[in-house]
Amino acid sequence: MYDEIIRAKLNGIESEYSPNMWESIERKLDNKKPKVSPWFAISTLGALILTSIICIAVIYSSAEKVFDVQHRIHDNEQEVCEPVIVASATISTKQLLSTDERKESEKVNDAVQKTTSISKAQSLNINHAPILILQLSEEDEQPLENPIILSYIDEAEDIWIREKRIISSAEDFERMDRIIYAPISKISNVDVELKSSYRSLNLDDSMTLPID
Amino acid sequence: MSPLTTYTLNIEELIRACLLEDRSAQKRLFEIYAPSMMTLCRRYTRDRYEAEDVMQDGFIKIFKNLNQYSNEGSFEGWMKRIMINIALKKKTKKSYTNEISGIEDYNHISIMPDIFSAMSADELLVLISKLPEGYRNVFSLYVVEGYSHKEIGKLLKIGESTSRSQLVKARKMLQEQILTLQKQAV
Repeated sequence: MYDEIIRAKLNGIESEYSPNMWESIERKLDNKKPKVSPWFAISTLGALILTSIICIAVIYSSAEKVFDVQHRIHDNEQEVCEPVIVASATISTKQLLSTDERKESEKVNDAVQKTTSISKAQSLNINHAPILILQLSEEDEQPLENPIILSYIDEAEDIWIREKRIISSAEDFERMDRIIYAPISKISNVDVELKSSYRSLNLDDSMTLPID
Repeated sequence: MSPLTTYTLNIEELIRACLLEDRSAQKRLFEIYAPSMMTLCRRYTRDRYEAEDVMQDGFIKIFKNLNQYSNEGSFEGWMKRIMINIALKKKTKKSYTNEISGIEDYNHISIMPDIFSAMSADELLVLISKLPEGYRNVFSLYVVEGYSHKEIGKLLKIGESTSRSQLVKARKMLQEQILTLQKQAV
């Protein structure tokens, strides 16, 4: 019974609404329509595609140039570097001892300079040239089976001793049949330390034989 | 197209003009039905702002889908269904399922029709809008729109028994609210 009352009441009434509601609806209805003409849309799209193609072409050509430059740089580097690259080799002590050629001696000297303990000339009580420098074992700093003897007479004269004579008067060195030559500039800064056994050799001037 | 002032209340003519997207015709149609649609929207919403949102969406949908109106049945009824559907779409099924309780608890409630008679329509609308969402929708659909529980169940995707239960509880709550108001008035 009361349903009819309520229905009659509510169906009969009208409610107020916001005065600008129609404007909102109209705006939304207008939004569904395209605001630009199809021709404008097509021309805009075409322009966009054209711009994209140009951009891609520019980027591609730029990239090509960059790669080309990189290739050239790489080629140049190879050209420059190839002669520079030198194979570095570690030369063992035995290798050092196996040669008596001058060039080999220089290489050996480099290695010796870096890796060996070498006595100072003064430690051997040698007051004047030639200076004898004995190479010791790298491991225990004991004398090698065939110690290397580095020698020079005069840095200024740059004269090289290459005879066995330099040690021939010292019996202890007679068995050392190889003498490694090295320029003083390459061995002067070598920090050396000699074992007492070598100090006891008591080398004197007699050892320093005249040079050729 | 004819200006707005030349339109009479001939709805068929107005609809034909609206189909041609005549903006003045659309405005006229809106002006004719907006007050009653606003009342309808208020029944399914919590406040005026929510009701206006629903009504705005409803009219946009009506204008966009006007070609689907088959001229069979009431045009106002067709508009109402669109409005109700939009209002209900904003709700969730949770609103109804959470409010289920036994119908037996309310069988003893005696409703006093005089209480409703004494109220103004606007007062009644305010009270309905204060009902929980599920109660409000079932009450409006059943009592005001005249839907059956079966139709309500289908529309709200709830069971028929739930619809009945919600209706009873809505009535009970409405009665309590009215009694409270009367006591406050005294």
